[in-house]
Amino acid sequence: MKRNLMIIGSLGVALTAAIAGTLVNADDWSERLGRGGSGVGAVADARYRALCGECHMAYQPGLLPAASWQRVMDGLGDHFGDDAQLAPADADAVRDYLTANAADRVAGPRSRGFAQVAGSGAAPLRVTETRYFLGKHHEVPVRLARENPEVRSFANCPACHQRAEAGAYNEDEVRIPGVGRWDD
Amino acid sequence: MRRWALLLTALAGPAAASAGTAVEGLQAAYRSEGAGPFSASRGAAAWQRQAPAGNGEAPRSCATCHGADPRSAGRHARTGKPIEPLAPAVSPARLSDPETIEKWFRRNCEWTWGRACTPQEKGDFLTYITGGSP
Amino acid sequence: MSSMNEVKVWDPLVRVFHWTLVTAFAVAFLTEDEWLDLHVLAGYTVLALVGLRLAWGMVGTRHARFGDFVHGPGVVLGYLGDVLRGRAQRYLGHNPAGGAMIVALLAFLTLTGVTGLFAYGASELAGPFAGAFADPRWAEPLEDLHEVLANLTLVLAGVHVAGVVASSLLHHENLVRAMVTGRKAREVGS
Repeated sequence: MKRNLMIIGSLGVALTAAIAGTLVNADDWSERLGRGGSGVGAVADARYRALCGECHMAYQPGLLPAASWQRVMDGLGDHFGDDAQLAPADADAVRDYLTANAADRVAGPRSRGFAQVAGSGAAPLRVTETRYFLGKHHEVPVRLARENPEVRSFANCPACHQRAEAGAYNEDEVRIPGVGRWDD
Repeated sequence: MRRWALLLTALAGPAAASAGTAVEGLQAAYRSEGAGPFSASRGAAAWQRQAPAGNGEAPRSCATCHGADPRSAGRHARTGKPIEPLAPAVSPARLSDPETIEKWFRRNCEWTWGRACTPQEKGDFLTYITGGSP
Repeated sequence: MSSMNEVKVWDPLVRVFHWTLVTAFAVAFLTEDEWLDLHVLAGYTVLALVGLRLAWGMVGTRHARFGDFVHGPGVVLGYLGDVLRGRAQRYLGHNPAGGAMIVALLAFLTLTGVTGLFAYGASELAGPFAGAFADPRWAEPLEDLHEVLANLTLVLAGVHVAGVVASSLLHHENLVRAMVTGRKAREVGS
């Protein structure tokens, strides 16, 4: 009799935990599974893509935490040496879009990684300075990226990541111009 | 064969025409500011003219990012992003919106030459890029 | 139902545990990097199930307890020798070789899961070991270690399936069905 109770009790606990866990994470799951699991959400705002995707890829908002995007938008007058100021209505709309979909505001393993900024210091301005990015690229030699005339910069994601524009950055979809697949 | 050529011209026509309208409108505005006549050869020379970047980066000209001439594809000097050719004859959607043209003159003259372009220079550029006659 | 000739061997917890573990391991193995969050959830499930089984192995029903089927190497090798000579005794619970396999599987599943958590911390800056591996050079070796252990676990699982099939044939019984219904024949032919 005691045995049966223990069995039923354990199964009950397990079932409850499973149901509770599913309910708590249901939103996250449908979002993540819909996106194919391991990328960041693609750029969904046409205005952002048009205004901010001409000199460089329109970086997905899930690549930086909201605090970083605020800093970027605050400093458009000197945007990495360029004057990238927008009309006020455009600037407001872009700022809202970026912060609402920032790395620390959405679900997904990649965004969670990008949201991990070092405890001290201001939020990084560059995706390429985030801890997550550095951890993923520290083995890529500079000569394959910065000194590669078809890449020029680590900020030029689509040069090597075949589906960067869609928010997909899987390692097995990397093809470095002049070199081929990343093999390690 | 001729039917295809006609069809393609008909399709490209409106795009080229809108480029024409935008450029004409802007050049008229430049003339009213005292510029003109516009010269493709002056535009070509300006296209190659370099200015020091001033922040330690290599000197750059229009050609640095936009390619040897307006029909070439280019690449952003810093980010590496590919840039479609500027010539409407090659990329029909180019130079079709006067606001966009002015925006990029404003940004890129500053970034390349460290100053605004004069109406004369802008008019010369537009003539050169559209491959039109002065 | 011939309940007169059948005896209850595997209690519901053992059975639910077994098949949930099969599912969780399969999901983890198939999802790996592409569906990372699902992979991690499956991994946590595996570790939780192993913990549950360890506890049940100490206080559970007769054939669920480790004492019932875990033997020293001498007994295990002796049993394997008997199998090769075609005169292995039939066990109601896990036979000694099966018992050894269970120990090995539980160990490898744990090692795989734990190295997975290490890799997760180093590579994705997430999970319980998120802060533990600050230097990015940890990521690659930990991922590789996790992958090797996962592959070895899969090999063990394959050997396990082969062993179950062999034992079933040897004693003319369906051990897979037994792990579903929980019942075995009281006596068997050979």
